Amino acid sequence: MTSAQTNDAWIDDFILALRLRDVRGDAIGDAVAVVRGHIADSGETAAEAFGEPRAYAGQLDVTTVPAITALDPVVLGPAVSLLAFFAFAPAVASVFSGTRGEFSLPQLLLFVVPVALVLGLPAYFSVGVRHLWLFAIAFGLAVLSATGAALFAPDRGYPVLASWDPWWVAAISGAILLGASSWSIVAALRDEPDVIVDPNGPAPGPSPRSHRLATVVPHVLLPAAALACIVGEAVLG
Amino acid sequence: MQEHQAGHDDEPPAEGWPTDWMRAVLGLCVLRALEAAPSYGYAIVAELERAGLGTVKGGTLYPLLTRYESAGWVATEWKAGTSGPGRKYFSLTAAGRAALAGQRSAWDRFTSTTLSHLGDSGPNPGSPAEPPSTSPAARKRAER
Repeated sequence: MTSAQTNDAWIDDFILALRLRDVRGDAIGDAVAVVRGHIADSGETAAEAFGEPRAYAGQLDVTTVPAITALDPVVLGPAVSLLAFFAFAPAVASVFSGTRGEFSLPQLLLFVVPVALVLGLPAYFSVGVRHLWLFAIAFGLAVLSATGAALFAPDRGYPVLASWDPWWVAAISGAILLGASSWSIVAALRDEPDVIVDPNGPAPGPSPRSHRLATVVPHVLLPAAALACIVGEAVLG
Repeated sequence: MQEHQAGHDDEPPAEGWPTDWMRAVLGLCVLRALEAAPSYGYAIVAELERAGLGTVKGGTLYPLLTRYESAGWVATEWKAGTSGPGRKYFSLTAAGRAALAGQRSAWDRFTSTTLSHLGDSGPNPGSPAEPPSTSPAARKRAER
């Protein structure tokens, strides 16, 4: 690996460490430009001049943005949408099969697991970025509990805790799903992306349309899945 | 500590000045390096080295400068480099100059006291110098 590649790898780790500290994009650009300027002047590698990137990032007194919490629209919106989807999907199946929407206690408790994992994301995100297996475990746990909930359905002999008219459940959960997704889409579009700004480069222009679309895509996945449920039941029913 | 006194007066010992000493004086010396004119990181490092303080790493210098910037002691400005990346220049603000003057005066009294105590004939029997009035102990005494 050349020293330029070594420096680029160091700077990538440094940017990640600053992002995980919730440092603003313009302050990150400033700190990176200082590193590049200093190693150009001194002839040292970034590691020689600044030590370990995570430790150095922790020592800088830089401007930060408010940390994302579970109540942020980008977290709470998807969590509510997910919970609504868990009610919507079986309700649609019941509507098409002409049965009542029934849930058992273990089934409802298992639906809470993926929602809690989404709501808790701000708490374990920074650790997960450094230990990707943690995300893999969280994802596996979410999938297992969501799919495993079907094993505890009342039609498998578990006592019915809640029984509703599936039309009402589908209508209410569908409305919540659409409302929560729209809320998070509006929030994602309203917030200007916090891009890294090079103080020696031109001022950043408005974010490109492709970037804005990319911020919206995660929030339309659940409404799209809900639509797929309806189409699937109608076609394959 | 005696071996550190060997060699040229303004030369650091081969192993460098003790880390604790450098930690104590680095902030003051960085402010001093900016007193005459705005400067950038590597030039500050070079000036401290010329002054006999040894080589200060970027990883030590810039966190200090960001703290001074947050405290309003230094202002910053990016200037395009003739060749290579641009440089971030640091300059002392009025608050930074006041901080330098206060710290310099306090350090002068502290080193006088220390030298007096370390004198060949043992501790000076005279009255000790007053610590700087900005210390918490001095403030408490003044309040009483």
